[in-house]
Amino acid sequence: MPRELSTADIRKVASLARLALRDDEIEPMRASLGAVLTYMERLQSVDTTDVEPLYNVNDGAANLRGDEPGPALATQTLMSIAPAPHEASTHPPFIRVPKVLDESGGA
Amino acid sequence: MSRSFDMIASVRLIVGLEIHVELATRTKVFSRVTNPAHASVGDIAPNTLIDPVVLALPGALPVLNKEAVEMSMMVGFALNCTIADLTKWDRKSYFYPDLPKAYQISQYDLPVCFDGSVDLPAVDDKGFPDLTKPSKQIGIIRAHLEEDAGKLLHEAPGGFAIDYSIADYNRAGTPLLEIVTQPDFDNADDVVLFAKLLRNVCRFLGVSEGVMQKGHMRFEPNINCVLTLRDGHTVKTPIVEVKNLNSFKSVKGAIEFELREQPGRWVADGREFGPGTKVTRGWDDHANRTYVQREKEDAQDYRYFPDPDILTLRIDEAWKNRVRTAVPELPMQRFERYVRDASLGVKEAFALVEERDVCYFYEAIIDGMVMQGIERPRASKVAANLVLQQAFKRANEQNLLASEIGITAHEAAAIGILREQGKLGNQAVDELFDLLCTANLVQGRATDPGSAGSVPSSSQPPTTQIKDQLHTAFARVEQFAREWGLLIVRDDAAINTAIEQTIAANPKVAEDVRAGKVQAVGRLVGEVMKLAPGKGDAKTVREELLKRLTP
Repeated sequence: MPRELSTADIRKVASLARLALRDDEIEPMRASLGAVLTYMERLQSVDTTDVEPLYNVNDGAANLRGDEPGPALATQTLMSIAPAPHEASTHPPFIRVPKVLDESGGA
Repeated sequence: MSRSFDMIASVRLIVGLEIHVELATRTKVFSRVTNPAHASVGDIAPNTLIDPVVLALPGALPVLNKEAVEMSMMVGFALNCTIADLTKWDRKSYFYPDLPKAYQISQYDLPVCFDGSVDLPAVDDKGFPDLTKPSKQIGIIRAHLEEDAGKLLHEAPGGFAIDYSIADYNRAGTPLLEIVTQPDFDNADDVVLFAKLLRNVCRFLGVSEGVMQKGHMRFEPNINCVLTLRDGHTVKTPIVEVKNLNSFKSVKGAIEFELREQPGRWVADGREFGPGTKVTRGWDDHANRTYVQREKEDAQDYRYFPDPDILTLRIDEAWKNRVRTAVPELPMQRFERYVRDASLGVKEAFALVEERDVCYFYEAIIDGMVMQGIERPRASKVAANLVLQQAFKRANEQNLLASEIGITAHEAAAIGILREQGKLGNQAVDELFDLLCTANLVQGRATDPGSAGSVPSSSQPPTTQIKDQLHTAFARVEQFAREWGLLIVRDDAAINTAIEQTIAANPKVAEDVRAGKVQAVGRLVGEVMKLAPGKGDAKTVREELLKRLTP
């Protein structure tokens, strides 16, 4: 059996996924995450010494696309579905987002 | 143990470099909307290059752009990498407002390219490659294909302060090739030379325009130091990663700043290299220093896993070979060839190899002259002068490439030949060059055979055809020169008269030459050429003058 997930582990996983867990949700989460880990444990027990890695049942079959331009989505459509719709105080056609202190950005 | 500067006997710098190159495909890496890094895209309004995939709208699925994969492979070949037989894409999860999906599609354990190396030439004191000294090997760990994020602005257009950020997703989904070197650099100048050469390589391969101001290439050096202490111990300082540098000057500045600062930081806090000690810093271009960036929460916990939306990709030998043959001779090889075969100076040779099309233009001029019987070394030299002087001057004035100014390579070759035959003076070379550029631009002849920037392909026209084109160009140029009175029609009698008049009119200068001030003869040559334009070449006039004025 894997080590039981601590409350701190569960809180960390929740925070990485930006999930706000109530205190009464911790125990159900411990049980269901624990079941996932137990299943992983079972998979680990399989001997794969001479088995080639398989990343996907359709390995190597990626579809490729020619470099031909297609249509863009109208900026107005983006504006109309943005969670913080642009108001007088914001700056269309930019999307307003929460202040980010770390300016590194980019990929 | 207390620490002090006195304890440090020597400091050795260690730098590894990560480079992000925005690939200049027409469309984005996982969808068909236009890629802002493509050369055809100019200034573009915010949030116009978007589509459901870029914005991560429900149900939108990524489909990989074949061109982006092939461009990555080309860079891989140029960096002597192994190209993967099987490659896959993974999700790198983090929350950030410039990342619509809350994960970036990147590559984790099976990158397209890996295990490469680059022969980095030594650098002279002006920053040019020095071929007389041994080169260094820089290892390439990997080059993987991922997507760029959008752009965040922290002030409103016009520079107004805002208490929120604003996002533009045009850049999101631009194909990004991340190249990672081994920590094989020990000084900032080598890193900068590597960065410049890589930029040239990318431009030669046509995978990026390499415009630094547009962020086509962004550099992130990982910097630390080995301190050798007086007691013989060595101490490694923690690695500092400086993010998002987009100029060579800032790369050099950031590395040199860290080299100066890191020993002092160790003296102050005693922190040493080890797991979890890596720090991210930003670069302040005005203050010329790095600064601490607020650490992203759980920055290391990206929870990579294979992206189930994109299947793995197999790259077979046939495909690799097809792409390999599309890789042209690279700038460094051309640079060496120019320095050795054409005895060009390193500065001149480096200027020529900055642009692929300028190289092709230059080499087509040489080939044209060689076909007309000029020895290759001599042709190389004459062609280099034509490109570096006439073409570069005009190109700078018009903000064009030297290969785009209107004159064709065959016409430039014809000028070179006429010059070699003593039929054109320096002044006439200049004038004829300009006249042909202007005439061609007016007539729109830029797409003529043998024109600038015509890319040599495997299906070259037969030699006889090139010869015909050359003859046509030569005839045109000679006719032009004749019509404009630029050809030297040798008239020794006229020249002799002009020489006598000039000596009589400039007794003082003539006396100086007689007294041994040979360089003063230049002024007399100029006078003679003015009195008898097109009747002789400057070299002969000079010899003639010296014959009369010196014993």
